[in-house]
Amino acid sequence: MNIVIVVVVLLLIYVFMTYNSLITKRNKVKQAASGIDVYLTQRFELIPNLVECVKGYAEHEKEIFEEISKMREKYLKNKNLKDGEILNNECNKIIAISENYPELKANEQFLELQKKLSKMESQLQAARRIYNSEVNVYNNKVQTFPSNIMASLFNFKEEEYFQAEQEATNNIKL
Amino acid sequence: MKNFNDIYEKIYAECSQPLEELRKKTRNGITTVILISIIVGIILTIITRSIFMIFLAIIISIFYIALSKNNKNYRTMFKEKIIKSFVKEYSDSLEFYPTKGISEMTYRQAKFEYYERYHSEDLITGTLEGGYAINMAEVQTETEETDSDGNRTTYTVFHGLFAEIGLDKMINSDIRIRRDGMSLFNKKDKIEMDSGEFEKKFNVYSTDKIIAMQLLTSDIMDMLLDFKEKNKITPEITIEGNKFYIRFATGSVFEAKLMKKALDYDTLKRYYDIINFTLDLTEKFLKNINETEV
Repeated sequence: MNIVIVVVVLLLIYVFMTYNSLITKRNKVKQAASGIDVYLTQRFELIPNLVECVKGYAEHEKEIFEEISKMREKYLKNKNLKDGEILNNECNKIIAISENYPELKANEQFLELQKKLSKMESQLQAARRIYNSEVNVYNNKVQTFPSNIMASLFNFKEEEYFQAEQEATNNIKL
Repeated sequence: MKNFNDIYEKIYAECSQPLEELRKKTRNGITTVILISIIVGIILTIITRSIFMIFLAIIISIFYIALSKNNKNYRTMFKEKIIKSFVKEYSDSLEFYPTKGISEMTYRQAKFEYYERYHSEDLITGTLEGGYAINMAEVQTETEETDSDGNRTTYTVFHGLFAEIGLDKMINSDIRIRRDGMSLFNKKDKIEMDSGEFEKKFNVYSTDKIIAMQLLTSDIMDMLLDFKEKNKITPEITIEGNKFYIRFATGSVFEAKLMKKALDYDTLKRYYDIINFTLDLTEKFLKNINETEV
């Protein structure tokens, strides 16, 4: 009888510990995702200034600017990482446009904005790598035995990584 | 910076022969004394039937090696001729000082480990391309432990090459890269890197994850892994404020070995690879620091 009690107690301790560990790791993934969101938001705060600056030189690219402004508004209303990454790619397009306008490239305000965006892109990349490593730790816990039993019992689902193709698009040299 | 083979050939042509002659002379002298001591020791042991005579022979041999004028000359000459020329050939802006070392205060700033005794010698000092100051030297740290009987034993904590490089930018955080298993720091500061292979061999600690990730890019992680794989030494790094510190647990360096040729290709190549790696790695970190504007 005593052995049964000891086994049950040990089993309960294991369940509590594994459950708590899964929660901690999932929270770290969420924390890493919010880290990305912080850098995306900071980056998007520069969009109005950037559009204003580029507009004067590239009037006929108006459609792109309008589309980006709309996407930004949409993102700020309903923040999610996928939309944020798409908008971030669009944001990089504005910088790519500048390549066609040598006068714009010499504009001090534009250069300052480009510098800030470059710094933020680097921070964003770092935040993405942190996110992926946290997802890796969490997914390993969800997939490996015996913690996978607890994960499926308490409905812990695997998290998605940032895809390599997605990152490659973002790595546009600013 | 010159190719290793060019450096080797130049030193070989300039100073290898007289030094090699001195090495052979010293080695032969020592071998003769050891052989005579052992033979005399064995004969005396047989005559006196006391094993003490063998120990006496060993002690005499050790004293001879330690006090041999030729041996001392050869060791000094080796550093003065081979290592000094090697450093100078490697880069005109670097100098080698065999009797100087890196200050203990500098080593402490890198926050590697706890120790009680510190010794440093064989200083390489100068400036890198871009005007960054570099100091590199052999460092040995030791600690003492007392057992339950009150006997004190001295342990070597670290013995190898340590370098300090001045950066032109302040990093508002600290980054520490240590070999796996050396967890002296707060686990809260440990960073999970996004390379499984790197995670297995190194531990990274930092108070700012973003800055650590910005600086430790995949090419730097690959470089560290590659060096570890090829040289079987784990480089350990600290970046704090405007300083970059790196160390390699190589054991004794820049010392003459009587049983090896004065200008041993593999030994010199090893020194070349370590110095090269330190400078390349620093350059990469500096590039990341400047690009990311941390």
